[in-house]
Amino acid sequence: MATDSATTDRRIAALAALAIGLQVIEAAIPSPVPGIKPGLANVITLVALLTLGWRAAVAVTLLRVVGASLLLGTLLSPGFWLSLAGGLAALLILAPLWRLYPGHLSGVGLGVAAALAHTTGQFLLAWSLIIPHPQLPLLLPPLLLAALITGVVTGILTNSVLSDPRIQRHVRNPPTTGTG
Amino acid sequence: MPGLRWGDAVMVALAVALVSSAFGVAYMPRGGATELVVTQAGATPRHYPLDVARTIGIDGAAGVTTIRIEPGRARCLDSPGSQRICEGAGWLERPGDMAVSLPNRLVLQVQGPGADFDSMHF
Amino acid sequence: MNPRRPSSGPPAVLRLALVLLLLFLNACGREGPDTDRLAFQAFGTLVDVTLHPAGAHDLQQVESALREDLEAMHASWHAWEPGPLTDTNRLLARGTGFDAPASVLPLIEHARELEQRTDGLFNPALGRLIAAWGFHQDEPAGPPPSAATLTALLADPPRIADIDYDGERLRGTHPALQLDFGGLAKGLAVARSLELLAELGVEHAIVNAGGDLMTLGQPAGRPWRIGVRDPQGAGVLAAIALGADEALFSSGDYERGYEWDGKRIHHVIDPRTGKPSEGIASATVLHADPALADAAATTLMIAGPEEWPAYAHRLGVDHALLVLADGSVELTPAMENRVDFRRDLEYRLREPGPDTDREPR
Repeated sequence: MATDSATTDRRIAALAALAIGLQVIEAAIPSPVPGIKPGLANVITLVALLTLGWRAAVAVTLLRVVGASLLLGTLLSPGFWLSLAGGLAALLILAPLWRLYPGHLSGVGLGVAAALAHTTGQFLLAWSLIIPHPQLPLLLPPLLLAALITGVVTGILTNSVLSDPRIQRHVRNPPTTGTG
Repeated sequence: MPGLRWGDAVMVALAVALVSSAFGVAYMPRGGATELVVTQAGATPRHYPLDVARTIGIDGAAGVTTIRIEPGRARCLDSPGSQRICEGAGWLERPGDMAVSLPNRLVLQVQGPGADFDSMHF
Repeated sequence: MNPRRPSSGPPAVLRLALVLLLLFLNACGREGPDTDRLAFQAFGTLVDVTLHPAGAHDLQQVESALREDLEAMHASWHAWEPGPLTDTNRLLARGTGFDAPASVLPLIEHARELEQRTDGLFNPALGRLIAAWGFHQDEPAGPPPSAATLTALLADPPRIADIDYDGERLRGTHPALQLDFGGLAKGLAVARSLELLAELGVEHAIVNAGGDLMTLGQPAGRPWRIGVRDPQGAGVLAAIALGADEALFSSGDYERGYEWDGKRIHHVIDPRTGKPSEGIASATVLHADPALADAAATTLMIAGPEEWPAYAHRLGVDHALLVLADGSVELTPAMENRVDFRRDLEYRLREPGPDTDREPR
């Protein structure tokens, strides 16, 4: 359904604001490796992706990362770069996968993939540049577990949001009736 | 639950496999000893896998050190030296366990698949 | 709007990603041997040298240079075999001035400072006492000195301070003074060996002389992994990660010694009692100065379970681990951070300092 770019921009801005809020909340949650988070804000990325498309998702992600770091005062700090790495990694894995929606994958599958990619991307950056400690990979399994759980949660949330009739109109790939 | 697809199940299964194997790899219990390393002054270290039961002898300055190897463990059976220090160390079976024969200038140490030490302090 | 992909594609991508990630995780855990090891007899013990990276050094050259240097030091500092130290002892006992031999002087200077800092607890001028216990021979043996002999030896104990040094000549002022640098020589030897390695162009190495070791530099990207052997057995008690230029020295009652009348006679003699020290089975010290670490390990063992933190403080030692005669373990908080115990162990923390309380853990 064609929408004019101004409306799209407003929607992107609104979603970005929500995402920034989520990321700021998530910043308050302690993590074994400071700066590595499971990625709650990915739910917004997913919703943006599936209702507004790829470009919108990238925009929302970048706005979220920069916006949240401005609010938290962490612009250009290691935390900022970790956040960026996570966001980009999530986008990277969503690129080949999101076409599978809604036929093969729902928000849950995408959410899990995005969350794992998010955490892995953050971990790789942290390990290679910030804390190159040989034992750091020992922290990766619990981080991945947290990401898995978060991914399922964000996926379920995404599914809920997208199945709301008011949103249905905007969904790019409306679920077909029948099994996928 | 609205709108789940078979792909979700695949994705979650893969993710669970990934996370469990990450735990497995990272927290692998330290295995038993897998090889005996004999370091002798003036020679390159010799490695003997701890697989088949056998007895080996290492020549040294003071005589022969006889070593008994069994699956997963080794011990100094007989070695020159009045204080029987080498024999006294008993079975070497945990990675890092070692026995020394000063007269023959030998160090016997079993190692496992885990991390080696760069040097042993004692 | 978007054409459906053939169903075989995406799962393959996912599988590939999974495999790559697993390979990556697997690779992180393992590091192949990146060091060369040398083992040879020198300085009266087994010397084990670790060099990093592997294949970067002429092992023959390194081994022969080190062995030669260590044997020279061993001969110079030998407490009872004829050599520069026994000559020095003879001349000190005579009481007349003589030219300070270059090889022995550094030991005397280090010893003087250490004796002062430990208030005489570290006293390398008691060679006679050590000889009386049968330790001036390759295989230490009894009988232990009689009570009368001990009393005589302790009546007027010599000290390093009884050596006059004017910058050129030495003169002994105590006829019973006999130098024995057992608790110090290895530390200096290891330090000199590392200097020699540095001259040979080695940048990362460990020199381990009979279990006491010091590091030179550190491998890129990781610390040195040192295993601490269980004194009572064959296993690994703990692992310690050492950085660049750190020394790890221990003194124990299980080293040189013999059994007499059912009792264990070991080589660390307490100058206050004239007998082998009691209460501590082993003392381990981590410090940047290997000579200090060596002397401190001996001193803490002599100091005993109550006073060792006070002596650690005097010597500027922050990292110490002691195994008491009853098998319990005490260590400093700084050492607790460095040590990774491989056994389930209860231990007590004690802060170096003049007045310390025991903190049960």
